[in-house]
Amino acid sequence: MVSDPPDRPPIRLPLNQLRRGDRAVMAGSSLSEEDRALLQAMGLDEQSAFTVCRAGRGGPCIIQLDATRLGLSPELAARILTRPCDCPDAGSCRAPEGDRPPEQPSAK
Amino acid sequence: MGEANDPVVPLRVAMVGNPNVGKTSLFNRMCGVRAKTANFPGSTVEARVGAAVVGGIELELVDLPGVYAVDLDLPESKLCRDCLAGRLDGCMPDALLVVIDATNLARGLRLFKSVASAARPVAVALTMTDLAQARGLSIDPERLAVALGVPCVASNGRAGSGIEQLAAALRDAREVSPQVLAASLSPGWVDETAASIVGGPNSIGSETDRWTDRLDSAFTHPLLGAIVFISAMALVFFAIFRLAELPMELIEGAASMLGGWVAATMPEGAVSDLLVNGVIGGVAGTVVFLPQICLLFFLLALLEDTGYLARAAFVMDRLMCRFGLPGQAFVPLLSSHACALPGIMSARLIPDPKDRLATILVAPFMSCSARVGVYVLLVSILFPNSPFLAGLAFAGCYALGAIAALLTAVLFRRTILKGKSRPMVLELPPYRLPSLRSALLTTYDRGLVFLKNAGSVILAICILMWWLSAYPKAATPEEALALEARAQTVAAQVESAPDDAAKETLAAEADTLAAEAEVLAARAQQQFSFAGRLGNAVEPVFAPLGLDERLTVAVLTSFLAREVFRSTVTVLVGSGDSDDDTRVADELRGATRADGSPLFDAATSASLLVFFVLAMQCLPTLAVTRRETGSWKWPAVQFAWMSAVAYIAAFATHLLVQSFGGAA
Repeated sequence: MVSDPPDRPPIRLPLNQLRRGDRAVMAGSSLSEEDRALLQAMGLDEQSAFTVCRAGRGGPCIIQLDATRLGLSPELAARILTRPCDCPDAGSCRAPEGDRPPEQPSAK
Repeated sequence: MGEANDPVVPLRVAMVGNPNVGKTSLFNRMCGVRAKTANFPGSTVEARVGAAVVGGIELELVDLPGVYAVDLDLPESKLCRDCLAGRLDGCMPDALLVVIDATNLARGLRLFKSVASAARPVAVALTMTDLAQARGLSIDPERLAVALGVPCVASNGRAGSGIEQLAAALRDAREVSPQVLAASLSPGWVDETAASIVGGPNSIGSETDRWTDRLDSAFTHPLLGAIVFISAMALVFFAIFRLAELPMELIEGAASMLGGWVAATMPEGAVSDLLVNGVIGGVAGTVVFLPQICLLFFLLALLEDTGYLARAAFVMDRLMCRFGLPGQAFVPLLSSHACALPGIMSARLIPDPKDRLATILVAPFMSCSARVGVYVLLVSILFPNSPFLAGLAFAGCYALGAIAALLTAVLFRRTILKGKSRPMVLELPPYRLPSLRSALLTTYDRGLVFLKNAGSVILAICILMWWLSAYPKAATPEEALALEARAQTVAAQVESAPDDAAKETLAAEADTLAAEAEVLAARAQQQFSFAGRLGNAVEPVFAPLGLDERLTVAVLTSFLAREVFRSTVTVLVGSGDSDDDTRVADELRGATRADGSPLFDAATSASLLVFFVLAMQCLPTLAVTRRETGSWKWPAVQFAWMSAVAYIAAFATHLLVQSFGGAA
């Protein structure tokens, strides 16, 4: 798990501003309910840790999430807030499911 | 239990799984060719239904589209919900097969959790165990079976391992117990279960695949990725053109032989004419594209199976999204340069229904191979002495079609197909060697769908068009009768000619006279037929484009297929011989109107060229659009829009060229 140092506010960066090789945890988003539900079903939800394989730089970006690689459009990546983490692998900073925010009801 | 002589009722199994987990490979392995694509009413996505007998167990399998969750507001999720609730065709599945990727157990378990409450017996197929092992993960299916309380089997559709055990597991499938259902609702169930099977979530995906990284660096690079993609597509394109050439010629030859045999066997008359020109000629004109369609789908299936196509869509999304289309639209649009039929059919690669519809609607703007003959003819008339300008005009035709397609896509996505697109979030599957078997089965399936279409809608359209061109029958003109008589007289003199040279001269003269008589008869028939009369009636509509009544008839008949224009125009205006490009162009360049002015002046030739670039003149394409969109509404929109754009652009071209003195 990642915890922010108590003496300074947590750093939150949009996913599209991360660089290649950066590791981060999804820390929030301004996504629509449908998009959030889709990403959650694909395995990307709050507290999910991932590595950036291709930085956005105005275009789409690629992240590695567990064993899965996801390509995200720049618009989508800009709406995902992340918190950098230093842990060596995905599992180290992935919060147990019980500690995560409750799942959003998916839109039908 | 049933009586001993009761027919065995197959076990109906719905297959559910995330995309790229090897579900369709399992389906193909079990069903082989005993499968068909099913479009269920009210659904824009399709599933495949197949029959299989594995280990003595009869199965009826429904391969549902890959989903990340069944409760999402997406067409494929809705199809799964409907299937699980027995709303697809009124039949509840007897069992559910949840296919889970061993390298992504947590995500598979989330899907399992969402379908477990369907109150149907469930079995689990654990796939990609070889990849999981390669990543250093060890997963025990038996422990997973104990944790989930349902049978679980490690299976590999590509290698064919675990298939019989999977059938047995389906036979023994059971409903998820209330205890497991209750436990799955607790927070942390997914991670805890995954951890208990693979030794903790920390080990999932912790290794970086260096090869995947390297390949992705190249294939998803904005510039290098685009170069690789264009090169790959160029190869596919080349293969479609070159490798399909021979089978296409064979189909044409076979159709020609069959037509000749029917004409020779049957007594001359309406039935023979219908069979030869309506049924055989019409269907052969469509079926001739089967090799291109099969090749395209075979190559695309191979590319998709390698994991590359997802990367290509990722790269092209950057360009295509400017026009309101997704990256996946690039493949159908490029394929449409060979033929719009496979292009439209390959739009199935596009997941979003509105994106797919927009792609289908604009694909026929791309210059297909059937247009090439018309382009060559008109460009030769326009620029007889300048190969450079001719080449430029030829390339301009392709550019004009592509620009019209992309601008139309922008317009449609902002008007009639307005709405939010699915955000581009693509799973990039692992790279792997493609399965030849799966690619062949996909090709077979697509080919069959195309042939069924050719044998139904397209056949009916061909018969209608034949009837419009063949009836009512015109009396042979006196001039033609006189020519025939002269031909016979000359032919009779051949035998009595003094030497071989004279014989040859007389025989050639007889042939020429007979051919001229045939052209005159065909011309009279064209003008007297319903199609011809229609052409004469609507001639004022096409007059602003510079077309007289003969060119109007030629344009109208070419709505069946563009290539018909060439043969019709040579019959109506030239000598009827459409084989030699240069000769036809020379003949048409010399043709005149009733007032003696050139028929193919620069303004008319240019406006015709623009019209042929942009107009929807291919009935098989409309039929395929109807099939892919499930209604006649969209082919009607496609036809109306393309015709309107073509007319306006051709009219503007005519005015423009005239203003530069091109009418002379």
